[in-house]
Amino acid sequence: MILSALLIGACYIFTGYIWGLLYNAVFRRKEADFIRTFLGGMFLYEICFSIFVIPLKLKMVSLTTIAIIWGCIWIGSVVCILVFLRKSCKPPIHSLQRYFSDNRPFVILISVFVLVEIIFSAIYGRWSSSNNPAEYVAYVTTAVFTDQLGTTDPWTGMIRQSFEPRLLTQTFLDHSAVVAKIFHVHPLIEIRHVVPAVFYITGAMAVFLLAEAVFKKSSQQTIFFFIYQAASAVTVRGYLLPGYYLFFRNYEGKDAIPALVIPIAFYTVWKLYEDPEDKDVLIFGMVCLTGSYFYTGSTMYLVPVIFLAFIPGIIINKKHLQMARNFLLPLAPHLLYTAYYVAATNGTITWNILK
Amino acid sequence: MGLNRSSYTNAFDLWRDFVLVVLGDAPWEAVLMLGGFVVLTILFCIFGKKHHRIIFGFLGIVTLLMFEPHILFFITGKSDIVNRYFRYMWIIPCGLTYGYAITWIISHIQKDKILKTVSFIISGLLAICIMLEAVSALPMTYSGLETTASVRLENPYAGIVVRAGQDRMSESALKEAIKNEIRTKGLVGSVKDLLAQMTVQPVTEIKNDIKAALREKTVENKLGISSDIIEICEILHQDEEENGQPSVKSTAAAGPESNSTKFQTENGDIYYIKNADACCMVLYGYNVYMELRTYDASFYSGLSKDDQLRFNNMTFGNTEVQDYENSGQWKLLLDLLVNGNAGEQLDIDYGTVQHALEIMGYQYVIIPTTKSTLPLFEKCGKAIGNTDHYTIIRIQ
Repeated sequence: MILSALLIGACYIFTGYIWGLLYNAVFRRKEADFIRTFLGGMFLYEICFSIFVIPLKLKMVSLTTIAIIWGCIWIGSVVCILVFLRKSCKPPIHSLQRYFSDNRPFVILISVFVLVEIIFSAIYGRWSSSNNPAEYVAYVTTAVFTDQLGTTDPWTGMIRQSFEPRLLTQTFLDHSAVVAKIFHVHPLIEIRHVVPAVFYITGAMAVFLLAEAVFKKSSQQTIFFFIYQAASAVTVRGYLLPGYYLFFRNYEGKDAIPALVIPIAFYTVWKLYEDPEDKDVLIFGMVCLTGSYFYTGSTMYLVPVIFLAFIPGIIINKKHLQMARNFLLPLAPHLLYTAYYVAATNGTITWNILK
Repeated sequence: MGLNRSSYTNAFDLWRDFVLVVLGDAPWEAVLMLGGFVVLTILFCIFGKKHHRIIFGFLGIVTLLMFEPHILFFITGKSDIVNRYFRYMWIIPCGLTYGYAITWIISHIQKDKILKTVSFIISGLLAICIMLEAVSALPMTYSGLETTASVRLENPYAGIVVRAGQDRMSESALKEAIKNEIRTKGLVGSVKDLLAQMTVQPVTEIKNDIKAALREKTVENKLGISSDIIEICEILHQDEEENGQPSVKSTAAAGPESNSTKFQTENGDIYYIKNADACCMVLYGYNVYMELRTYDASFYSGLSKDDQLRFNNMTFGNTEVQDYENSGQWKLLLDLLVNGNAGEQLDIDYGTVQHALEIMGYQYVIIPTTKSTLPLFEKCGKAIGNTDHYTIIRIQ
């Protein structure tokens, strides 16, 4: 079981990196730093998976067929990227190596921190007394058992009348079902151990990215800021604050909001405020924040507030309209999702399962 | 958790309950954290550079405004978005502001030798606080939040604010309560009391949390779920293999989707199941419900999420039982017997329970061994196995 979990985890990391090369190529990035390559790749992969799986889900194609097709796409994409983008494979790794040789203690510290999080969660991470495992985790187990995605109510096991609009777009659960099917592992291994581990790793990267953006001139300050952010995220126990979701309900997509979405949103606004013309950051923010719908729809409540909060300040202090425009651009996917969500929840759009 | 917007007619009541949910769980941390954040935001706005004013000032003000009662009431409109409104707590940039401020202070005072020593002491204390918080967070994080939260609500650390929520005080009643508090304790006494609530009591609480954390157990197996659940599934599957599935009175027909079956129970409920041959209908309560289908999706239940929550740990008596029996509400009757706690000797015949089980089409029952309703279910079938905490009954 541990070997399966490690293998699947390694595949996630490998996929993030390989798709990161694709992300760099598609958006013609000149600066191929490891973290943005990896995070950009992860979210690009998740957007592509969502686009692939949602129509098949609605057509009620069997999970086995979806897993076979996606397995082939995954292998094909990895081979193509390695063949056509082999020259761009090295720069992100070199940047990581350079950073490691310059800041060895810091990299070791982050690695140990993430490792402790993973082990801690695996040893102490019992279910909460909330009823959400019965929805999120059982969704994956049910999908594997019924060989269909989202057609059965995970709470009861009975076929739904129509697709649940919220879970329709949260395709990370479908992805977990596909992974469990491909690797022939119990869904609990994927969703209980692998997905949280991926959250911890990518979350540490996102916080580091933010720390570096805030204190770019001092690695010592970056380190301290990272430690503070990471430690407070883990230890603050408020029900509605990051620490709770980071460990207590790490099987849910909501975990991505405090761990990934908010640090990336802050990183994007911080960098955009410094340089409104930085298209690289603008695209990175848009890809990551759009990809976050793979995990949770709650992004639509939060990200617009973070971006819009800056607009009055920009207008008053800088009077730079182009900057305001660049702050509004990343909001487009959120507006689209909000429109979908409103239409789906008030019954304007329904996708029936039982005819 | 969650609030229902339609039940609030004024901004204060909605805000009061919102604050109760936000603070009720870890009030003193939330109060301290938010208080510190407000102070830092003001400091950045007054003394900070232009950059600081934009980043921290505007962001801080806008996110805090999101929680102003009238804005909360206006934004939520007539929708139930308020259920999700709690998540705006995440975007208050407390961590960002604190992290920036602390890092800035420490990196600036390190230039002086004496201050450098002081900064190391501060860093050390901070590290100890974080460790304490980490240890004390364990029981909160890992051993059933609702229990811990409800215990905390009994000790109102945030004083009158939490009490206002608990007693569902109106705006005028809250103002009156504050006046009374000041009248009886005096202004200084009230402030002293508030400070004591925010300092002395939290320390006691941390001690208790550390004690609880030291008693904390690790997960029972590699899958991270209760071993009881795995044993229950093994017992059920073994019984199905050895004796076949118990017969049910519901009628079955081919469903509209491939490999689906349509069931109709005697009381008219219709439902559809995939792979029906490999499934069986099991009656179980809330604790089993949280985990059973995460491990094995071949068991289904007639009790939905709302049904499971309806009577969970509720004390009931013969009045409720007779009401449901007389009105033929068999689903509610079984829900009550499996989820509730009987507060008196029940005057119910096992034949009634058996009738309810047959009508609803249940094939097995999983019930805690300590439940007082266990003997009733045992008479309806045959106990096929026990785990540490549950008895599994095959309905005859």
